[in-house]
Amino acid sequence: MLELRLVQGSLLKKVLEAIKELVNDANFDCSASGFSLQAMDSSHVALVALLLRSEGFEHYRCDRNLSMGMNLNNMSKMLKCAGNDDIITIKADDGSDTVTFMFESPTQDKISDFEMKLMDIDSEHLGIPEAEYHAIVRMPSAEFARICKDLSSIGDTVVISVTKEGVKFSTRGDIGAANIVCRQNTTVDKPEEATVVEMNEPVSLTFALRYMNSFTKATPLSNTVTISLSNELPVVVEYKIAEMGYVRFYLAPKIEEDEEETKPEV
Amino acid sequence: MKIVTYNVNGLRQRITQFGSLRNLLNSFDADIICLQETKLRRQEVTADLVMADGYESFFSCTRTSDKGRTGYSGVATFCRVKSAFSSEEVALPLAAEEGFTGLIGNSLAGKNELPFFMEGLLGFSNEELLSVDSEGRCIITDHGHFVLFNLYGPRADSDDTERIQFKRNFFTILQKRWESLLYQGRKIFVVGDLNIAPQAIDRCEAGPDFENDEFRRWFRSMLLENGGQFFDVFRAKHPDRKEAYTCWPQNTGAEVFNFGTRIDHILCARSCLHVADDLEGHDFIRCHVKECDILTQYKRCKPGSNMSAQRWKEGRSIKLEGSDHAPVYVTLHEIPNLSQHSTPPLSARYVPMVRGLQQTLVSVLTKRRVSEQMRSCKMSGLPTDEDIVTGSTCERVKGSFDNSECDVLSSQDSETNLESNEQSGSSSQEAVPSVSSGIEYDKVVPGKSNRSKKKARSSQCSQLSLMSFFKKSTNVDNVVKDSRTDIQAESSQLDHYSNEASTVANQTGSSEQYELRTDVCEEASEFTDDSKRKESNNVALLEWQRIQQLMQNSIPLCKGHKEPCIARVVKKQGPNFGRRFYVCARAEGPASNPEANCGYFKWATSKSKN
Repeated sequence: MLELRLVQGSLLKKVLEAIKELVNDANFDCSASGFSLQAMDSSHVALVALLLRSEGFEHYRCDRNLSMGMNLNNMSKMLKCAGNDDIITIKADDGSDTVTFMFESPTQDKISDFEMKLMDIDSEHLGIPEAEYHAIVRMPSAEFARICKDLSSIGDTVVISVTKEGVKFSTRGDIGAANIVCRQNTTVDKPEEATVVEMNEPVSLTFALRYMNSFTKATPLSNTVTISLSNELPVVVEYKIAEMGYVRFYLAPKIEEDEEETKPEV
Repeated sequence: MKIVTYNVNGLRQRITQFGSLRNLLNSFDADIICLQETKLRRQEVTADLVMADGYESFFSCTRTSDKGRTGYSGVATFCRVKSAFSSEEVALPLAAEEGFTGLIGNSLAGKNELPFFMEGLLGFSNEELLSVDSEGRCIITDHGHFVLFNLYGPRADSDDTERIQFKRNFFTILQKRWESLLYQGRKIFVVGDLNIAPQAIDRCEAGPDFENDEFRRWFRSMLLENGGQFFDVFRAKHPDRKEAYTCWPQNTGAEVFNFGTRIDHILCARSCLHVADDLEGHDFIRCHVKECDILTQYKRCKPGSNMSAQRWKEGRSIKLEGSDHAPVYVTLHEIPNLSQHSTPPLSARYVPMVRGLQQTLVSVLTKRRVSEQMRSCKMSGLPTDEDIVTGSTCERVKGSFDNSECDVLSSQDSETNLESNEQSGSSSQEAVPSVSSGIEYDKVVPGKSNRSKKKARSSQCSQLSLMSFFKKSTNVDNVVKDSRTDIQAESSQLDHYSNEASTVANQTGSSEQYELRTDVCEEASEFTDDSKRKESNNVALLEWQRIQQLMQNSIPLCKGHKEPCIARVVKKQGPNFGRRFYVCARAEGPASNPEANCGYFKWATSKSKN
């Protein structure tokens, strides 16, 4: 028996919007400690890890560990039927083929039940290790999303370089090149507007903007984003979910490759 | 005389590719250029899209917005002429018509033709007739000696009965029109993307039932050898040429192995233009057709280019510019001039939306500069180009406002000197654009702009697999490195084993790997003086390495090449909509070629429970 009641139902809606572009279907794992997900994108290049700790739910009952395979597009369709201030309850019976999403309006005068078919998904749980990173950048998430969007109109990849002074995002494309530097800035009114750079060693890594732009779909979840970089490790782009957990995206860098383009010479 | 047909797959895109419409048209060096799939919306047609100096143009855009098809279909015919007025050129049509039912208006069908033609159409309702003409699929131009149909034939999926009926109507009505013209003794040229490959030879790996298709049968019935009225000009010239294709589906990478179809055609009616008592042995092909071939240099992927099957990968790693079709051309000879005539009212120059070609200041100034240069070169001997430019700019700008008449005179003057021979025949009542731009006429090398792009993008990146990434960064310290290589050997064995074993075995196998690795890591750290931090990082590194291996191993390998597949999602409505599957990542090609797509298919394991 599983019953998870989330007062701030909009959180779950935002989580789905954040990951459904990257991941087609995935197993949601429920245990006594929380509701989590780990999945790869279809090309098996990027990883998503989601955690919603049990403390964040108003009511959290999970009798035994349960893994539920869901098609994220279908799940998102159902969650779109919930109002932004609705309370969402996720319910499933042991061994059942379905999961039920219950939406209660804040005034309790409307209660909707949506039942969704579950899927059988083969997936292995990957124990993602904690690691120390050469550089950690924390910045406003909207700013990061804007940078990725802007750069992708010029190039396909972004080079993220961190120095003591700040973090530089640069790209190069057919029409020219672009460099955006964000300086360390902690003298702001609101802490979420700060740009903080913690650096042990300077790093400079190249990533596909296609994936970065998918990651920024999580922007509504958090005012800040944390980007952890190391020369030897995949980048981690983390959006904290207030008092509950996080969505983390992992991506391996690209390597430079000097190759003649194949272009028709008509 | 040269006629070219080209499905451009978006005129805007081709204009961008070539820099301008004029560059695109000039690259063919042809007298009549028929483009299909311009994909222009009627309300967005501007002069830079349909008008070019030196060409008369006639275009048709889709008029319906059924199924959200707005920027869809569309054909355009460009005629290279020296003068659009009182000209004797064959390229300049006597009349032009949009559509072929004669219902849209600006019909060129005379009083004699229409009734006869309509008689054959009694079985069709007015709506049906209008609907075949409403998608911008046909421009007819009458060039005196022949009537030219620029066609974009409808495409219909084999299970779309509504569309098949539309296609049937389209060609039935079209045939009536042809018959009516032929009955009047007119000669006909039909060019364009008909979306029909007539014979098995025109299609890669045609199945046994290929030629039984109703439209292919219809097409062949139109040909002389089957009692019809037309030559398939390309086939008549090259009866046995195999693998001569004009269209390659983009989404399967068909270009890599020339895995295409020949659906862009040039057809012409039988009789030649000669008037003699004894026409034995005369026909259009023998008397007038010099050459007919496919311009494969316009293909996105050329033979010998370094786009190998392995690199294709769903086209993601490479960007190709160009249409999925290649142009086809025919050259004709012994086509006499016509009597003096002027451009027909359908010309783009009379379409209210695009009339009044807005010149830019720069183009006005450059034109003048060129003529000024020529003049002063003649007058003053050997000044450098720059001198003239700086010297004459002010004068010109001033002159352009209050003394335009004089300017026109002077520019004409210099040009007449320049190409006096060529132009002596053409009357310049109107300052026809082609005249004033004679100097810029050098054939523009298409793809010129491409070359600079190529440079800009020469340092491309490829997505690093986590594996290769970790292999590269093994310089943490020697001891760890050494011991790791051992482990790697072991682990690859394990991998090999686990590939064959069940998933469960895979899991246990990899966790064993992990234990082994951490052991080694700990041992290794004993030998070094490194801090705990480094140790934990090494663990993380190895752990990530394992994760990457798992991620890679979980992509199925295709049967043919043992290469990782690519994932796709069912986009077609139906019970499997949205389901994920894996297919061979290589480009499609003939089954005999082991390098081509091996046809491997596998559903992703997820499926609905019920």
